[in-house]
Amino acid sequence: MNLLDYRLLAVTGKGGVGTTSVAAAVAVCAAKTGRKVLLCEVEPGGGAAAATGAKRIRYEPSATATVRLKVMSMDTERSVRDFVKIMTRVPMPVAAGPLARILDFVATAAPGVREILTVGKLAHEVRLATYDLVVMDGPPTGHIVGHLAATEGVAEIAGGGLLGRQAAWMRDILHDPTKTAALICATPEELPVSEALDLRQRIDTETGVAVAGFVLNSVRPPSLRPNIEAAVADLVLHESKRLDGTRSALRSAVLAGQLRRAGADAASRLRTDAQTLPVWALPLVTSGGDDAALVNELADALGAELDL
Amino acid sequence: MSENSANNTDIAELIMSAEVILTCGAGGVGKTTVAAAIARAAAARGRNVALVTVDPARRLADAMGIELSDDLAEVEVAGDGRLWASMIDTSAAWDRLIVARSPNPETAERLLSNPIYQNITARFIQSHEYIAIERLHELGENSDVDLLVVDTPPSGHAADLLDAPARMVDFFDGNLLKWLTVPSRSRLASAATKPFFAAVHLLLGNDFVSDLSEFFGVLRTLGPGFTQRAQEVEATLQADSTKFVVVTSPAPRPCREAEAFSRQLEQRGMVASALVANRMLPRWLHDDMLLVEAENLRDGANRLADLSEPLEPRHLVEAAARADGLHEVAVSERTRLDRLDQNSSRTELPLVIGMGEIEMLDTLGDHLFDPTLLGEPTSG
Repeated sequence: MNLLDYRLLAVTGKGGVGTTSVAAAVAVCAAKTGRKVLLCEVEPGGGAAAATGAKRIRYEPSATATVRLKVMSMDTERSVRDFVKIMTRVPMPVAAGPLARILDFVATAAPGVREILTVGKLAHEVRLATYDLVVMDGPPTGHIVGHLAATEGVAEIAGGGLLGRQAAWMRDILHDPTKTAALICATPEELPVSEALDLRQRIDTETGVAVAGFVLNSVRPPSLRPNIEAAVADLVLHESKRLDGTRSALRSAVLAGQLRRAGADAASRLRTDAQTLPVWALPLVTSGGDDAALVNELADALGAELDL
Repeated sequence: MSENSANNTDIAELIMSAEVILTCGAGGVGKTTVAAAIARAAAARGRNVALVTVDPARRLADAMGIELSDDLAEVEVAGDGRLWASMIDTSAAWDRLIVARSPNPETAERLLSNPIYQNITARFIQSHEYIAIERLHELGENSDVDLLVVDTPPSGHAADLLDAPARMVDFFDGNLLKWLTVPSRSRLASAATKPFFAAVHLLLGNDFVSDLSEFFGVLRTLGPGFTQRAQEVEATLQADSTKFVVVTSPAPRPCREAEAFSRQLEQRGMVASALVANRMLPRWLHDDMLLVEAENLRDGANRLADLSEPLEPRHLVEAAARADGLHEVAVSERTRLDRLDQNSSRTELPLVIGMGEIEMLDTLGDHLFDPTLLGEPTSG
């Protein structure tokens, strides 16, 4: 199935692998194909606004630098009010001051409630069909399973309440492998790859959500052929005066090869252990500090990987 | 050297004089590695060091001989000092805390077996952060140790760490717990709270709300012990001898989070004593001279290829392209770092490739103490 044909993609990965950039790149790439897309950052202040060139980010979807792409920031207190309004058609009593804190606390205390308010809001967007694709800039690997399995947990513990009774329709969306999937990000390094592979197992066994595949982010450019690189390394040490003024360049070409190879083992392990799941590789992109420009480059690279 | 030159003498002094060092920062920047490198380097130079980590990478823990245990175990280290390490399992540590503060075993059992217990501790009271600081406080009383290095849980939010003890006090002393444990009939009778509790019942169901009230009713009896301890723990955190070392990598998000962390520390009247930029490419890569050299290589490709047997001119043109590419990466990383707050001294540690864990830790330790090492490519 084409990655961009899902309706809800939960993007996750170990901290520091560029999950937000990848989620934004998926969203931008989909928007460029003509789809209407919503990108939602689950952890406020996560950088989704900068990544999409949006002037602001809040609970209500805001415009971005890309046509057809909107961006929002999750706010579970707003989400709970939305639920009450949707389910009972009566606005929730204004929860101010200590009441707001208690509500916040109760939502945190009940296993899965905060998660279901997040995932449920996005599943609701899928159900409304305002957007063709909803991309969740998800929590890191340690927390994503809790989000994807939230419908089960809530039904078990608070099944008698309104939220628990809503779990069924959410599950229909989350467990439909043609609608919802997780996208796991890693960089070509040992730990991120191990975490990505472990997470795939956990999602398979602990949630009913499908895994679309892996994104291998920040891949360095290919190195020179081994015998050529060795010859270049020899030149660095060569005594000829003719090489003066080129040795740093030669040295950095060798270093570039070492850096690429340092990640090669991890990258090939991911490809092997991914089995039938696709691995989409995205290059290490430099941007001079402009996040949106970086994401645009990644989106183009992803488009090429997806044969668009 | 760039204008914003790194300063590794300040960190060396800090490592040799501080009593407590907390390493903070986003996930994936090598925070645990830096904490371990600091601890080993200090011990190698004669200090008696305790290293407390929350969740180190398996390989690192194995290499250092650290086992999952709340107790300090001595780790072998070259040099005049001694090194102890402890790796905390935070959820087990919480269980023990509950048992220790419970008036009797029955109370502890009622709390530990409650289905919502794990969830409460994991998320509401920032239990990972609280446990890390609690250990800090406890080990501070150990007279064998003169430097305590605490690797904090990954976080871009200083508040998660710094406010953890205050949150604990607030939780047990505040109205929140009182409200939650009021019998449901009187809750519904109050005009002010009735609509709110009606909504909670509607959302979560009566069974769950009763479970919740019962759980907090029991937990509340533990309040006084927790409150006093948390206040002591908070004092340790704010002591002058406690130093914060913010760790980042040159990637965009960790840089942003490091900056936010430093800012949040300042808002609380504290400062980051040092900023460590980990996994940096060698300095000579971002010198513009490299572009000139790459151009020379292209221009001279025809004559230079003769110097080595398998080389053809096109290979040297390819090599020049690699040089250009790596220069671009190095410049972009440098630019991001230079935009960071310059108030705290910045220390740079190299990206290390192809080395075993211990060799890597000692290489990083050497860099912490010797600024002249910067600029050398570092590989095994």
